[in-house]
Amino acid sequence: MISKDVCREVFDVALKSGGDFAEMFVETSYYNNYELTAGKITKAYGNHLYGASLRILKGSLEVSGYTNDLSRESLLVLAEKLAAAYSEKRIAQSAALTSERVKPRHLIVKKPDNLSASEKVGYLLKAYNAIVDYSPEIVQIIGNLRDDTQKVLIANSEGRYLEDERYHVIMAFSVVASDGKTTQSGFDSIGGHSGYELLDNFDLSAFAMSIADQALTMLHADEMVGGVMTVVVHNAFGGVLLHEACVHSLEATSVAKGTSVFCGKLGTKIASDIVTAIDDGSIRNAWGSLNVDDEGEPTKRNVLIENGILKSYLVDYRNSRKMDHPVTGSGRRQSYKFSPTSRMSNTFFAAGESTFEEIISNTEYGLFAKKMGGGSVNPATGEFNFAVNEGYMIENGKITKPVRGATLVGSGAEILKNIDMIADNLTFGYGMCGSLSGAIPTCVGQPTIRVKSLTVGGRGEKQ
Amino acid sequence: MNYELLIKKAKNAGFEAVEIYATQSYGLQIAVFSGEVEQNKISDSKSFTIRGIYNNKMTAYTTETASEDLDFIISRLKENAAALTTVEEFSIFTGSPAYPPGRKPNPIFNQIPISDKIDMLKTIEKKVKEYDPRIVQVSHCQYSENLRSVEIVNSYGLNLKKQNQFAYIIVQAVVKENEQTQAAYEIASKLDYRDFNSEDIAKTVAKKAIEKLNAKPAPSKSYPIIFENEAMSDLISTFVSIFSGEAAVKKITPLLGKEGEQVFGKKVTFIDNPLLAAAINYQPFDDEGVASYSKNVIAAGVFKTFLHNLKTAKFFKTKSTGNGYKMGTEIGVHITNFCLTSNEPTMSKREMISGITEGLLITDLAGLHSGANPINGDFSAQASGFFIENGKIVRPVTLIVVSGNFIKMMNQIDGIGDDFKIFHNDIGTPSVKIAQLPVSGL
Repeated sequence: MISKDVCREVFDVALKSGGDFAEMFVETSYYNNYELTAGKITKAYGNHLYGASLRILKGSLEVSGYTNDLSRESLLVLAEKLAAAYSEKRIAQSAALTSERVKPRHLIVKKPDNLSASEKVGYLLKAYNAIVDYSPEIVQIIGNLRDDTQKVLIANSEGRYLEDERYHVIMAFSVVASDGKTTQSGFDSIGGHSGYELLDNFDLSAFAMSIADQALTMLHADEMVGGVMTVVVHNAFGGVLLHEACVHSLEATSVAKGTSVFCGKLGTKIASDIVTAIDDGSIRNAWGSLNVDDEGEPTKRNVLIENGILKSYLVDYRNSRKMDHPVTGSGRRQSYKFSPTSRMSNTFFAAGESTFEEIISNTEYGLFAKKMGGGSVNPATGEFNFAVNEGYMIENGKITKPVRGATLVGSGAEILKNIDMIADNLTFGYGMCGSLSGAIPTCVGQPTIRVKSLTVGGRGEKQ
Repeated sequence: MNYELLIKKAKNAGFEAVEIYATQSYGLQIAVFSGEVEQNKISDSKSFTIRGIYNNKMTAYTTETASEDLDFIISRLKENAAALTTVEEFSIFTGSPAYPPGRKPNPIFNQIPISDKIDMLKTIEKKVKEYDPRIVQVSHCQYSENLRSVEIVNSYGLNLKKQNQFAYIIVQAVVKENEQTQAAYEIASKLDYRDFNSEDIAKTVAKKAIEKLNAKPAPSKSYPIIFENEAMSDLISTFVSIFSGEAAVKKITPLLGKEGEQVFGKKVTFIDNPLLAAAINYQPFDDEGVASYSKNVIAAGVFKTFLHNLKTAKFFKTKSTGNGYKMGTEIGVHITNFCLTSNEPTMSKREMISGITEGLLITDLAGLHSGANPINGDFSAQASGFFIENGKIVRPVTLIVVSGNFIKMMNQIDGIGDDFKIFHNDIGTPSVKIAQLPVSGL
C-alpha cells in the first residue's frame, strides 16, 4: 500500500520536533450490508474505507491525524502538521523498516469477494424460511447480514512493517411477536473472524427458531417485579456481564489514568475464589480474534483474573509507557479514523465445577437470565447496567414462569465477589463493543453463573 | 471524482437515475489530562456515496477514495440491485421549488490558534479541580471542532451544497469520599468559539459531581418522577424512532395507524425543526435534497405525521417531510432538532419538587441502548438523581432502575418545566414531571 521508503521518510519528518515514536496504520476495507424485511431483500449496499492515520508519541503524549490521500506528498504534509505540535530537538530517527510476515491463524475458506450478493442473501432467506409460518403471532422478521474484508499495513519508527488481512461475517435476526395488545421482540446473532463457511457450518433454522421462541415466550410473560435477589445468568451472551461489569475497568484506557476501581490491585483478590477470567484474541476464527492487533502485536491469551486474584490488565503500546505493564496484544481501533487503545477481544469466565442443574436446584428464589441484551458501564464508578432479553423466575429450585423487561444494575467490584457458583457449560455470544477507539467486534462468553444478590429492575408492580 | 463521467457511464449501463452525495470533513480534537495535552488529533476526510436505480431497484455504494474505478462502482451497484427482491418504489429527487438559506462556516474557529484552545482546556481542568478537594480527577477534558461540507449532484441536474461548523467541549469530573466514587459530565456545544465560558463549564460539572457524593439506592416502590431536561432528552432520543416512517413501513412502531389520534396527553407538542437558527444542527435540505421545513409531529397530544424520506413517503402515498438522512451508506429517516414544547403553563423545577411528598428527581439515565424497546415503548434503565421528601431534595440516589412505557408516560405528564434546552443529541426539552413510575432499588 505504502512503501517502506515512504514510511521511513514520513517517520523522519514526524520525529523532527521531539517525538520518540511514530506509527502509520493504512487500511483499505470493503463492507457489504444486506437486509431482509418480511421475506424480501430490502437493502444491499457496499462501503469502501480507505485511508491512513499517522501518530507521534512523545513519552505517553500523542498527536495523530488521518487522511484519505495516500500520496507521499500528502503524508509528508500530515507529518509536518503533526510534528508542529511539539517544538523540541530531535531525539529519535526512524529505524530501517523490515517486512514481517504475519502468520495467519484463521482459516478463511469462502471469502466475501468470492460470493455474489445474490448468493449471500440466500443465507438470510434460509433462516427466514425456517420461521415464516412458525406462529400467527409473529408479525415481523428482520434479518441483517454483514461481511467485511479489511486489509491493513502497520508500520512504525522502530522498524515494524507488516500487512494483515481480516475477514468478518455476522448475521443477526429480530423477530417481533404481537397478540394485538402487546408487542415483544427476540434477537440473536452469529459471527466469526471467518468467511461465509461460518454460516454453512451452522444450523440457521435452529438459530431462527430460538429467536422466534424468545419473542413468543416474552409476549406471554409477566412483567418483572423489581427488587434485590439471586440472579442466575446463563452462558453465551451472559458473558456481557463480565465484559461490562468488570473487564472495561481492566482496560488500560481507564487504569492508566488512575480512573478505574481496579487501579493498583494487581496481585490482590478482587473476585471470589472460583472466578477465573480470560481475554483471548487468538482463538481460531472467533468473532473477536485477530492475527495481530492494530499495533502489529500478535494477539494472545491473557489471564486477567485467576482464582479471584487480579493477574493482568489489557494494555496497548501507548498505555504500556504510562503503566510499567507489558503490552497484551490488545491495541485495537474501529478503523484508521480512531487511535488505537486497549480493548477486549474474546472475553470469558473459565468453566467451573457445578452443573447447570445444580445451580438451578440450589436456588430457592431468584431470576434466571437466559438471554442477556446489551449493557454499559461507567469505568470511573464501576456502576453497570444490562438488559435481560429473556428471563424466568426461579422458585424453590425450579425454573417457573417467564418474565420480561428485567434490567440488572450493580457495581463491578461488588459483583465479582458475589459470584458463588459457576457451571461447566462455557459458550460464546457475539457483539460490537463501543469505546474510545470506536466499535469493534468482540465475543463475550461464560458458563452459567450465579450471583448471590443483585438489584433487578422491572415494570411490574408488587401485588 | 468525475461526476459527469460517472453519471454518463451509469446511464450507458442502463441506470434510470444516479446520485452522488459527497462529503468533506475537517476535524480537530484536543484532550488535556493532568495539565498535559494527552491527545491532539487532526483529520481530513472525504467520502462519495453513489446511489443508482437499476431495474427499479436502488442500491448504494460509498467509497473514501476519489480515484475509485468508476466501472467497479457501477458493477457493484448492479450486482447489489440484482440481489434485491423488494417491491418498494425508489426515487432520486428532481429538486424542491425553493430552498431555505444555507449556513456559512464561522471563520473564528480557524482564527483562534490551537494553543488558545489548549489553554482553555487547561483552565477548565484547573478550575474543576479547585472547586472542591473531593474532586480527585478530571477524567475527560476534550475539545472537538468539526467542519463538514456536503454536495449532492444527480442525473436530473440537481446540484446542492450545505456546510456546518461547530465545536463542543466535554468534561468529566470524578469525585471520591468515604470509599465511594462518583462521576459527572457536561457537554457544551457552540457555533462560535467566543461563546465558550470556561468558568461556567467548570462550575457546572464540578457541582454536578459533588452533589452525587454519598448516593445510595432508594427503596423499590412507585414514585412521582421528575426527569431533569437532560435525562428527558436521552429518553426522547431513545424513542424517536417510533415517529419514523421507516419503522412504520416495517410495522415496528406502536404509533402505526394512529395518525390523527390523541396518542399523548394534551400538554405534549413535538416539533421537528431543521431550521432553528440557534441550534447546532441546521439543515436547509435533507440528504436527498428535499427542502427542509419545521413540522408538528405531535400537536397537543394528537399524532400529526410520521417523519418521511422519499421512499417511506412513497410507500404511504404522501410527501417526504425532508427527514431523509444518511445513516452510513443508506438513507434512513432521522429527526433534525426534535423539540418537546407545550402550550400549557410551565413550572420551575423548584415548583415541581415542592409539590412532591415522596419522589425522585432523575438527572442521569444509562443503558437506554439496551434497556429500552422502541417497538413497544417499554424501558427499564439505570438511573441516578435525588430523593425528594416533603417538597425538598434530601439526598442523592444511585443504582436504581426506573421503568415504564414511553407512550403511557407521555400520557401521565403532570408538569412541564420552564428550562427548555437543546442538547447534544439534537433533542430539545424542558424537565418533565410524571405522575408515577415503578423504581427498583433496595
